[in-house]
Formats: sequence, structure tokens, C-alpha cells
Amino acid sequence: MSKPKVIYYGVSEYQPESIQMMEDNFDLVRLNTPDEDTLELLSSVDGIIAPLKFLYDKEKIDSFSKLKIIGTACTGAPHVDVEYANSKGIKVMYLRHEKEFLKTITPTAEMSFALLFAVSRRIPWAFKAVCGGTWNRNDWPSQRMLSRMDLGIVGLGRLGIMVARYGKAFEMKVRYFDPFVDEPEVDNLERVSSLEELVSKSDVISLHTHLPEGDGHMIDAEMLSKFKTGSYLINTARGPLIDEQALIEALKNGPLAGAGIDVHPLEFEKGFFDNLNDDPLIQYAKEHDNLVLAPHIGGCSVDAWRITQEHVIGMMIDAFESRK
Amino acid sequence: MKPKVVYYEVLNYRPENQKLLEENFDLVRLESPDDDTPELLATLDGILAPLKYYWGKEKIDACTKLRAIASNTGGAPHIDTEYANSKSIKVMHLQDQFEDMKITPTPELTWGLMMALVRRIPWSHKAVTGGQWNRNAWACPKMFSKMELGIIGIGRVGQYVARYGVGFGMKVRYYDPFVEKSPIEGVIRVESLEELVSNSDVVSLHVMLSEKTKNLINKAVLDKFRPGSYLINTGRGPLLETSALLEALESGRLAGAALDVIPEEFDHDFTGDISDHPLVKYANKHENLLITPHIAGSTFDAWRLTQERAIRMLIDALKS
Repeated sequence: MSKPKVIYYGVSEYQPESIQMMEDNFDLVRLNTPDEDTLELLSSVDGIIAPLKFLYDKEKIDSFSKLKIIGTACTGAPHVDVEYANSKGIKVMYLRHEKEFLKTITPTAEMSFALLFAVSRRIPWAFKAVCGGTWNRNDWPSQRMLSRMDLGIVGLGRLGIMVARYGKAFEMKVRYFDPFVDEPEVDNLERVSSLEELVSKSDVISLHTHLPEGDGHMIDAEMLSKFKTGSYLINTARGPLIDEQALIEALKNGPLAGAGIDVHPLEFEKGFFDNLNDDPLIQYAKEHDNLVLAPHIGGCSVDAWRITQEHVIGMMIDAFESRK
Repeated sequence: MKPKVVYYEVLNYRPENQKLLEENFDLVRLESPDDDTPELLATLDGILAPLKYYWGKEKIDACTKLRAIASNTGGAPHIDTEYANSKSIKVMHLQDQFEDMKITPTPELTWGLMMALVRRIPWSHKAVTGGQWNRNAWACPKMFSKMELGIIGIGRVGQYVARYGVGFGMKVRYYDPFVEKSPIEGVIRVESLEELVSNSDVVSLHVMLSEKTKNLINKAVLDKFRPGSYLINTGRGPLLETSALLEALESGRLAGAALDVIPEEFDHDFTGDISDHPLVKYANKHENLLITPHIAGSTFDAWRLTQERAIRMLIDALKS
């Protein structure tokens, strides 16, 4: 029995172990990007690993004639017209429905706490002072120990629940706002009935929710005015949840004591990367010591990349098997 | 008559604690021990000793009526306790007091440094504020939930850190010759330091400093560390040999280290100028050594509570 013919594009940057797994199980065709596709090749393949930045719409999907499986090692497949693919009998394999598996992928939740520590304990700036040659213990006090802070989680999904668990490990009081979760998997979480209530009671707010429908920001000037004075805001979820200008105002004049941001509000806007130095939030971070910015690295852990790649490849192998 | 006690303004106690002092003592206020006079010292019943000033034989001998010295710190490296005790002067600090007070900033900063180091927060933050936004440049090798944590010394702070490790889904082991039975469910005891470090992705130091534990982590021990592992020291500087650490960082044996303490910080001639320190020089040229200036205990709420406790201990000691 011949192996299924699958295209892997180097632009996906899979880990060596994952590539080896594909070599072992597929008749693997390796290209750099889908720009190198030829019609002849596409009509001969059984599967592809679809790289994130390339679109698999109706037209592209129609150029395959034998395709059975599209795999992508992401939680969702925003770049694939899943409905159309399914209508042609093509399976799209990604991770959203692999709930048990996803419970083992923790880097993004961990990042929320890394940012919280960095900003609340003033780590980057104390480190900068040391690098500048000054050792002064008294220059860097924080407001409060974590064990006496209340944690508020917005969105108690896969990542929110992990963060709730971490909060418990630090003996924090943990509350959450999530209209869809009545019975959380973690004990002793207090549910509140509105976002306003959550932010007004919390010393730390951590966002773990999807973007709301429509244009508005979930955390705008009005919502920020309801935050507790001296509280911290952490966002590893989606940049546009927060209004950039309102965040800067709240950091400058209160009520926020600090913020840790891994997802920039404008990250997905056109031209963002051309004008990084002009970006008000980055400007603000340069001049102040209460905003930690990271370049969307929440999920960036080499083992998580490898494990998710191997999982999707495994799903593809199983799916090919079951068709035999 | 109230006991006579000196309070140094460099201690910078919270207003409510200064009030407590005023209420209970005949309080003398000086800026710092630099302003001490032999006349004054000879009249004192008690002292609140600031960390940066040393209370050795000479100073203690000048305090002819002294009955108690208190410090709102987790130890008293700045006081010659043995000598003081030989003169029947009680030395009090908070080492055994933190437990019931639930003072957690130190284990929390240990965790904070560990996460900031592994997730490369200070350096990626610097890159972003320098105008670079590159997601793939900052990957860490492993998620915490797949890392193994090794705790050296399972005392008060070590136990907290072990619990955090369990909370983050890590496999946690400890080495502590004095604690036979694991105090925490799921945390495994190992028999030797070598066994611990060779099986850990992150090692955190929580042992007391003594002649025996000085340079506990030296070249021979670092050679046993798992390649690509991380080392955290929020305990005491001299536990870790500086030259051996730098070698291990340079060779890649260690993926990174985070320190909140350096060996020299309590030296009598330490000025706070560390521009020429080899650790600082290294940190300025690399992106795998994170250093903070002994801020583990520095939160306002902990300060308020520990100051109050030290004052109350002094009140009790001077009552009798």
C-alpha cells in the first residue's frame, strides 16, 4: 500500500521531529510556500499542511482533485474555508475540538502570570537599574504580595481555567466573569454577573476571551474607570479587546498600577509593523515603568509547537488509515 | 518609665508603625547609625537595627545598657548575634515569624524571576520598546507544565515554591538532608544534590547560608546540572560561586539564571556600586542572566506587617 502524498511547506517552520514524522508516514513533497504550487502537483496530492498566512478559499480548494485532508497545527483554521472543503468531502484537521489534548498546552496561560509578575514586581526596570550599576533594595517596592490580591478572570475557557488554577496556587481569591460557564472545573471560584462587578473587585484582571461582535472594545475608557485603583491588567488573548488610548490614559492617571500586554491592540492592523516606533503604546512603554510589552509570544514554546504539530499529523495519519 | 529605643529614619517605617513606636517607647530619632554617639548608645534599652549597618563587637560594647536588638528582616546578617547573646542582649528577627504571618513576597518573586527568565520577558520587552516585534525570536524551550522543578532546601520559602510548582503542573522534587518526609503531597524527596540537579529543568535555591553551604553550587555541582536547565537564587548570594555560574552560562550548560542576591551585598565595604561586578558585566552583554537588587521581600504590605511584628517583639522583650 503506498503512502498518502502530502505537501509540507517550509514556511510553516515545523520542528525537525515533526518533519521526520511526516517523512515516515507520508509520501512527502516539500516546498517553501504555496506560491510554488503547480496545478499538476495539486491534482495529485492526498493531503496538505496549510500554512497560516496563505488562503485556502473556494478557488484554491477547487484546484485539487484528489485532496482528502487539510491539516493545520492551530486551534482554529481562519485561513481555510472549512465549510466549502467539507462540502467537497475534504476533512480539515485542526485543534479546536481536541479538548483533552489542548488541556496539556499551557504556555499562553503561563505567559499571563509571567507578565503579571514582571509588571507587579517591576522586574524589567529593577534589572535595568542593576545593569546600570546600581544595587539598591529600597528602590523597587511593589504594592502588595500576590497572596493578598484578588484575581479576576474574564472568560473561563481553556486558558482562563488554567490561570484560575495558578491564582489558587498563589492563594489568591479568584473570581470570574463568563456568561457561559456555570460550573467551573476548579473549586472555590466566585462567579460574578457582570464585567463591571469583576473589574471593580479585582486587583488583577486577566483577559481570556474572544473578540466581541462588532467594533467596540471590551475594555474601553468607561470600563477602565471602574477598575480598582492600583490594579493590574493582563492581556494575552486578543489585542483589540483593549482600547489603546484608554489604556495609556489609565496607566498615566490611574486607576491602573500597571499592565502586561502580549497582544498589541493594533497588531493586526495594516501598517502596524511599519510604524512601530510611532505607536503610542510602545512610546509609552519606552518612557514609563508600569507597562510590560511582549511581541505576542504567549504560545511560543518549542515543545508546544512540536507537540501540536505531531498531534495534527497524528490526526491526519489516523484519518488516512480509516479511509483505507 | 518607657524603655529608651533608637529609631533610624533610614528604616523608613510606615506612619502607623512609627506611631506604635512613639506610644511604647521613649523614642530617639536619628537619621542613621552614622549619627550615633557613645553617650546615646550607653543609654539605650533597645535598637531597631537597619540592614545596611553592621552591629559588631565594638558597637555592641558601646551599648552598655542594651537589652534587645530587633530587625524586621528574615535573618540578621548585619548583627553579631553570638556576641550580643554572650552579653545577654536578645537579638530578634523574623525568620520564624513569617509562617503564621503568611508573608509571601519572597517565594512569589522567586516564581516571578523564574517565569521572567524562562519566558524572556525583560529582553523581549526591550526589543519591543526598541521597535522590534518578532514573535518567533523569543520562544522558550519548554512549557512550565512539562518542566521538572528541583528545590534545594524545603523550608518555609522552599515549600511555597514547591506548591507553586505543583500548581503549574510541574513534577517537583526536593533535596534537604534535614527533612526526611516530604511536607507536600506529590513532592518527591531525593537523596543527593547531584540527583536533584541532574533531574531538574529548573533548580531553585532555598537554603540557609553557613560555612557548610557557602559555594554549595560550585563548578562540580553545575557540571551535573541537566544541559539547558535554569538556576534561580533568591536565597543568599554566597551559596552560588560566581565564576562557576558565569562559566556554566557561557558554555550553555545553563540556559539561564536569575539572581536576586549577590555574594558581596552584605560585605561591610559594599557601596551599592556594582558597575564592575562580573555578573553585571555579563548581564550587559548576554540575554540569559536576570538580576534584581534583592527585592524579593519588597512589598509595602509585607513591610508594614513585618515592621509591626518587629516592634511588638521589641515591646515584649523590653517589658520583661
